[in-house]
Parts: sequence; structure tokens; C-alpha cells
Amino acid sequence: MDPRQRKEIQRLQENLERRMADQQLVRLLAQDGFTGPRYDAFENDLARYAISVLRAWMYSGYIFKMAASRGFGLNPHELDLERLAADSDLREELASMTVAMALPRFRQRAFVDGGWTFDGGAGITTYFMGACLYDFPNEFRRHRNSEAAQRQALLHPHFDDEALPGVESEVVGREVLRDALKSIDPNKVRERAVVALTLDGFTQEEIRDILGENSIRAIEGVLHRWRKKAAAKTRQERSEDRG
Amino acid sequence: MDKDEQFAELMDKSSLGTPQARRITQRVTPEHAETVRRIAHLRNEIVHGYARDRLAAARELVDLLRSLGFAWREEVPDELVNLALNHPAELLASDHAPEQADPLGEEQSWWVVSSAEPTLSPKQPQSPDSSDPDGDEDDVTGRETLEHPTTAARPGATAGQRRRKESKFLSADEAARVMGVSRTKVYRLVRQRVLPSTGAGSNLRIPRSAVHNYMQKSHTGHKDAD
Repeated sequence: MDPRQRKEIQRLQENLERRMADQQLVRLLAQDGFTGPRYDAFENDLARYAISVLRAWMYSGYIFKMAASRGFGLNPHELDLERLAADSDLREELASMTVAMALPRFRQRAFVDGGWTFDGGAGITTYFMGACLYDFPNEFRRHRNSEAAQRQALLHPHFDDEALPGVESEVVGREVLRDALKSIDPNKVRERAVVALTLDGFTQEEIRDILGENSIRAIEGVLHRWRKKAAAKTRQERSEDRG
Repeated sequence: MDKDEQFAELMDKSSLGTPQARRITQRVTPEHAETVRRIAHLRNEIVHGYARDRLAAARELVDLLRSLGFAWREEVPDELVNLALNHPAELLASDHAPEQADPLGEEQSWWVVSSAEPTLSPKQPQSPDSSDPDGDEDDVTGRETLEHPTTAARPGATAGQRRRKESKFLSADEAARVMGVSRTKVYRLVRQRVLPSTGAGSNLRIPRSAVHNYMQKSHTGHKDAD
């Protein structure tokens, strides 16, 4: 057995143990009828996790790929993607409202009705993120249709022309992200997501978790190829400037 | 091993307990998650609750969403708005103390339906001081123990209400008035952890001393800049 196979087996083993722990946890929570302080604590952590992941998915535009894989073709305009990348308040609002919508339904369907099972293959967090993906389209459409959003779009017709706020780090962050994402083909959603999340300070382990990748090496590979392409592009631009 | 220990151990081993899941979780404050859960509860109440509870839930939800700077108009069904506007008496005839001020003060809201509308929870005291028999002014967990400044300062305010005027904690609304800023700004400062707080949403409370310290620092900062 080569090291790669050993690692894969270890990963599968860990995954299995986590799901078994999830199952025991659900049984414990069922004893209280999925109410009470322990369920509150569990739900609180689940909400924190989901809001964080949703914000990251929105920041990177990855959420639209995930929603599309479940049959929700939201067809975001380039401006939608840019606003989501640039506006942390908007990400927070959409993530919060999506989670608020998903929590009660998840409790009923996954736990009370027994929709989540150990042998389904997904852990509780993955299952809940799936539930959020069914509620996100409604929240996103609501936002897109709102008058406020249209007003905002008129006020800020393009990312490039956006009045940037006074917080230096945020300004720098946005500019770096904007330049980086411009250099990546819009259809390469995975690459855009990995780069955006890296620039937002997520670790490779966190990115692996957020994007549901199998290994950190996959993330490293994407970043390596992106850096190589960016370096080649810079060299080409420099030689053109000289020429 | 008792249930709480078992729960803690299982949480550590579960999908939420991996190191990366923990790091991801820590990017959102527990207070924010509590607020989101409150939103979920209120939405549920609006859909499934009795008419009176639905109205109260709608009011609290809109208040909460506004305080967070979130869009709120589409969160409350038109039917409930109409209900509130057209049938306030039936909905609100209740066992509340009759002379409560509106929590919004001058900032009248679209749903204001009656001057007798209760501002706080249905467990309002029927007689002066009945909510605070032991004189504990620091209880920030129960909504009924804190009053809006306009209520506390009213000539007809009860002794308990006047005493709580000097409570060590302020609501977001009260802090905003003291600081002369919007409530949204107060929530932002709390979110940025510039101001310490306890509770969440409409139950959020900020130590009065922290507000004063913040104002003092701001003032000193301005003077230094001059």
C-alpha cells in the first residue's frame, strides 16, 4: 500500500468516526426532544459554522456553483458576484437570513423526522450546508429583487467605480482580490474560490473543508497553477512593456 | 459521566469538533448566532403562532432586523401588517399595564397600532415594583426588568422605573441616545468588540461604564487631534 492509499484510508476512517459521533450526538439530543440548553448550544455552533461557510462561499462566488448543482440556476450577473465579494454586510445579511430560514426546517426534517442518518454519507455539518443551499436562492432572489438592491446597483454601477471605504486593510484586500479574480476565467469557479478564500485569510485546511475538497494537496495544486500563470503573465507584460 | 460531559465529548468528536470546523466556527460570534436563532424563532412564530403572538413576533422581528441594518419589509407578510393596522383592539386587548410608552419613542414605526401597545414582554408588572421585589438592578436577562428611557423619565413613572433609570446596563437604543449615534452604529461597535455586551438582538445590554469610557476616549482622541 503506497502512502497515498494509506492517507486515503485514514481519511475515510476519520470520516466514519466523525459520522458515528454525529449519530451519538443526535441520539443524545433526541433524549431532550431536540430542545433545551444542550440543543441550544449545538444549534448555536451549527449556526456559527454555517454562517461562516456561507459567507466564504459568497465571497468566492462558489455558492452559485453549489446551488446550481442542486438545480437552482441563479445565473448571477458579474455585478452580483462583485458586490458579494466587496460587500461584507451584504454577505452577512444573506448568510444570517439563510441560516435563520434553514434552522427550523433542518431540525424538523433531519432530526425529528429522521432525515439525517449515519449511513447517508454526510456529516451533520455537510447535511446542514445542503439544507442552507435550498434556502439561499430565496434569500438571494429577494435581495436581488428588492428596491434597495436596485438603488445600490445604480449608485455603484461597477466594482471599479465603487467608492471604497476608509478602512485601509479592506481597501487593499478588495483591490488585490479584484486584480486576482480578473486574471481567472469566470468559468473556473473552483480556482476563483480557492484564490478568493486564500486572499481572505482562510487556511488551506479551512478551504478544503469549505469547498468539500478531498485533500490539502488539491488546494495547493490550484494555488500553484494560479501563481505560475500569474507569474508568466507578469513576465509577458514586462517584456511587452520593454518591447 | 453525566449528560453534559457526554455532550461536550461528542461535540468534540463530531463534525463540528474538527480543528478546521472550530476555526471556521470561531469566525462568527456566539452572540450573532443567538441573534440568528432568534430571527428563526420569530419567523416561525409569525408563520405558526396565534394571531396575537404573531403580531408581537412581527414587531420584534422588524425591530431586530432594523437594528441589524437588514432588509425587513418582506419578512413580515402583508396580511399581518393589515391585521395589525385594522384590528389592533382585538389583538391587543390584554392583561398589560396600560401606560407603557412605545419602545420606539419618537421613531414611530409603520406598525404602530395603539398607544396602549405594550413595549415589553407580556409579563409586565401589574403594580409598581412587582417585577423587582429584591431591588436587584443588575438583572439583564429579563426584558421586563429594563425600561426605555422615555418610560423611566416620565412623571408618572413608578419608583422601580425611576430607580432603573440608573441601571448599570443600557439597551442598544439607550446607548445610542447617550452617545448621540444611531442604533446601527451601536450594534456595529458591539460587533467590532469596541463595546462589551451581553445578550443579543433586542436583549442586548451594554455596561453604562463602557459607554462612558468609549465617549471619553473619543473625546480625548478628538482633543489630541486638535
